[in-house]
Amino acid sequence: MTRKQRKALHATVVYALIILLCLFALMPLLWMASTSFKTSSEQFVSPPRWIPQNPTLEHYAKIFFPTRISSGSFQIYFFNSLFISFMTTILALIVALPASYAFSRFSFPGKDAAYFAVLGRNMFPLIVFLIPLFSLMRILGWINTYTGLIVAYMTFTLPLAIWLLKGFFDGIPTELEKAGRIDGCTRFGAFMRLIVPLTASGMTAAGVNTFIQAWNEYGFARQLTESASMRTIPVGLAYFFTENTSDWGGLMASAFLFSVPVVILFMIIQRFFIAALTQGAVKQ
Amino acid sequence: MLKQIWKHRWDYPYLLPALGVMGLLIVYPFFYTIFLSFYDTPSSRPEIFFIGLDNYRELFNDTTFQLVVKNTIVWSIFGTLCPFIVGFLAALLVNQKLRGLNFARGLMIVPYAMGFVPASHAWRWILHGDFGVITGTLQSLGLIKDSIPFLQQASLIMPSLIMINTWKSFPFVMIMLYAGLQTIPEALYKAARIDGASSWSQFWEITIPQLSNVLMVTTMLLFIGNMNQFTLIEIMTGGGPASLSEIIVTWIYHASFQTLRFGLASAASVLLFLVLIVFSIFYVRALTRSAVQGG
Repeated sequence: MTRKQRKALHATVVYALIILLCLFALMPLLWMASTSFKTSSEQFVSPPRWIPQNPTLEHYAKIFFPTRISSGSFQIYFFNSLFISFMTTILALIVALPASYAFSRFSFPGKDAAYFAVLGRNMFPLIVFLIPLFSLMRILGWINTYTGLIVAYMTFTLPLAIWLLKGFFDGIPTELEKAGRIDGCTRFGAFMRLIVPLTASGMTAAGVNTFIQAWNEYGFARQLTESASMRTIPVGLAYFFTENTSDWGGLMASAFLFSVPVVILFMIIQRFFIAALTQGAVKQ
Repeated sequence: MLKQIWKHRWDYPYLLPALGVMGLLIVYPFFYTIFLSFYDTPSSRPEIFFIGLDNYRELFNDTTFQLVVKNTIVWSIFGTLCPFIVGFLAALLVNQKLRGLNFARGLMIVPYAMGFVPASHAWRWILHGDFGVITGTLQSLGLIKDSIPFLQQASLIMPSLIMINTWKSFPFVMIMLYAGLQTIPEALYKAARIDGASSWSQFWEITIPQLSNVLMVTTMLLFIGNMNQFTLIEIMTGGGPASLSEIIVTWIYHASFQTLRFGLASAASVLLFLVLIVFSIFYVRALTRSAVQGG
């Protein structure tokens, strides 16, 4: 083989494997979309068709224009998911912002231990925290309330938000605050007026990430809510199956609507997120 | 020490909200779980009774729990190994100097970006024994006659779940190892080629040693993430049938909120804590080592 032939063979093998991996990666999303546009009878035909023969919007129509408004409709789940994820994001950012700044800039005693405790949370399964949180929420009377779920979501959103924001603060030169102090700012004033505006991109990345985490959460949402009107979408998806019917079309249409915004949001922030994820693990 | 604290006294207010929330939601639950693991918590009555180590004794003698531990080991090891191999391969592929690979890398991140809940429902439908796309395609090709009950047949449940986890987690491995590959100086490979080293020996003698830290960190994160995986298994199988796919976290959930044995579930949680703390120490070691080397 000549050098040129070997190069061509190498490229062919690489592209073939990459195409296989891409198909594997995209297959569930594509099959989800395909099923969501099929009529209820076409879902069950053999051999399975990837392109629907009689594409239909009936499953989406069911979601957007339910024939009967029940307390368990997709719109209510959607509103709950949106509201809870949004409020979780706001609260997590407000709490995480000063904390991550302190972790980035100050050198007070106990800093390492506190930072370790914050990040250590991610080493343990959320479900283990659910037993004590359940009893705590019962004492506080927050079972089946938005407040209960939003506060409970701090368990896993806060550590990641602090970690991401600290990375951004680390990248801002300390000279800025020094200059601000000389101009007569208080330390907190310098933080609020000079540093916070510079972290807009960091806040966006941490905020979007928090939002996605809250949006996708399942275990807490299922256990800390009771009535159908409090369900979020991940919990609501499980109720597409009643005793006798399996509405795969409706389930796939809802799951598709639920996934697409998140995948797009993730693609937008992936550069920030990947930088934070690999920092520390990779020698620079 | 006290002088230091006094000197830095104005640092702490920044942390106050975070520490308050963390104390309430993380430190308190942690100690409450340990406390509850020594108590009997009858569901019929509001009181709890101190029973010493009885919950732990019951766990050790419970044959179902032994099966659950075995499942957790199989799931964690193979659920780490398979995504690791596929993800490493993907990282090596997208690291080649060819056109269009950035775009491919973007597509391959999709499983990582999708939530566990919709992804699990999609896979439940794909693996459906009678109407799933895999069974249907294989049948129409004449490769199989009967349907394949991926999520019902004992020998197929764990492999199916591990395959789904491979799909979900390989992009994470790819992201981490691709970032690692990018930092290896090209000069090392050049020198090796001048010395006549084959691609194979370049891989083992340059790539692997240069990646050792990121390999360690990625493996630990993946392993810990798998041990903690609740949503995927709960939605795919609910731990069933007959506890065949139950792992410790799903068992804890079912023991607490289905059979209402909070004390027993807490004892299992404490055991899980202990195991995870050991793994976390390895993880932190790998992280600090890479930080020291990175300077």
